[in-house]
Amino acid sequence: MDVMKKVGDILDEAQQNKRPFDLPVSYFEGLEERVSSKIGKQEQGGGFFRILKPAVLLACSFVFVLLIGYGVLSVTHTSGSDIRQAVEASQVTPDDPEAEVIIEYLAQNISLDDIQEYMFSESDNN
Amino acid sequence: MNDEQIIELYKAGEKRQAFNLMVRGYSERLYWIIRGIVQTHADTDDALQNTWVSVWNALDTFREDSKLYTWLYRIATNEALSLLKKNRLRAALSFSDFSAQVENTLQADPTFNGDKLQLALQKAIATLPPRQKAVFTMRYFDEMPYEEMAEILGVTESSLKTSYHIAREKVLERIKKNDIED
Repeated sequence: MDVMKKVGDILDEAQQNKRPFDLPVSYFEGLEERVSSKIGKQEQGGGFFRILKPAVLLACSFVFVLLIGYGVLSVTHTSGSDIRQAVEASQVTPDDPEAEVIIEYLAQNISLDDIQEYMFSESDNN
Repeated sequence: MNDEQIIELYKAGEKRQAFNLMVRGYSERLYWIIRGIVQTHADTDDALQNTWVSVWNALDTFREDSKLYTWLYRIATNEALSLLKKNRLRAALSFSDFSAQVENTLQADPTFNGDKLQLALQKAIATLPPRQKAVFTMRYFDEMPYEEMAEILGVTESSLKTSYHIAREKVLERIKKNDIED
């Protein structure tokens, strides 16, 4: 092939031949039967699975979402023991009874409501 | 029998007969559409049969808001693209060059009657991404109007024009590169 040939000419020249393929002799003669047999096989064998397919796909998606959710939670969630370790590694003296209470308290999975309740009870006591 | 009559026959409950008429009437045209995309006869045969199985399964959902031929063309294109993606994935997983595979298959294919330039063109086409390949072959070989292509592929005419232009540039680039390497 001539490298110097104009770029557009290459495709123009190739297009003159159109598709460079022949059709195999008598290819279409048996096609109808082949297709019918394929459909027949599908209807016999794959029928049950085809009915179940949407349900199976739904179940798989559910399991997938569950696994993703679990993965995200296990990466981002900070457990009580993690807090305990973090606090213990900090400057709080373990001998200090008040610090011990704080550590115990943080080690639980406390909610914002619990904190508010605690603060209100503390202010009532005072 | 025309498309409307085939659809009427189908609606009258003669599903099998209507389907067989479609297979007889449209197989050759669909064959060439698919062959343009998957390139080898064996894969074309596979995709064509899958197309008819899909048509059979989806006949009940055919709404007459598009022409029967356009609907069949769309299914055939999707089957061809999905087979092509599968083949590419298989080639990638076995660490082999997909276009080299196509070249070898074409050279060994007794139904390929092209010259060296045609072989280089087919090899270059094989390197295009599947959807771009469909756009290129529809436009280049079938000279299909963009309007019809847009209906089949479900994209706008302007994006098809851009896609064809990019595909054409890539094909020319690869033919030239192939030329230099030879």
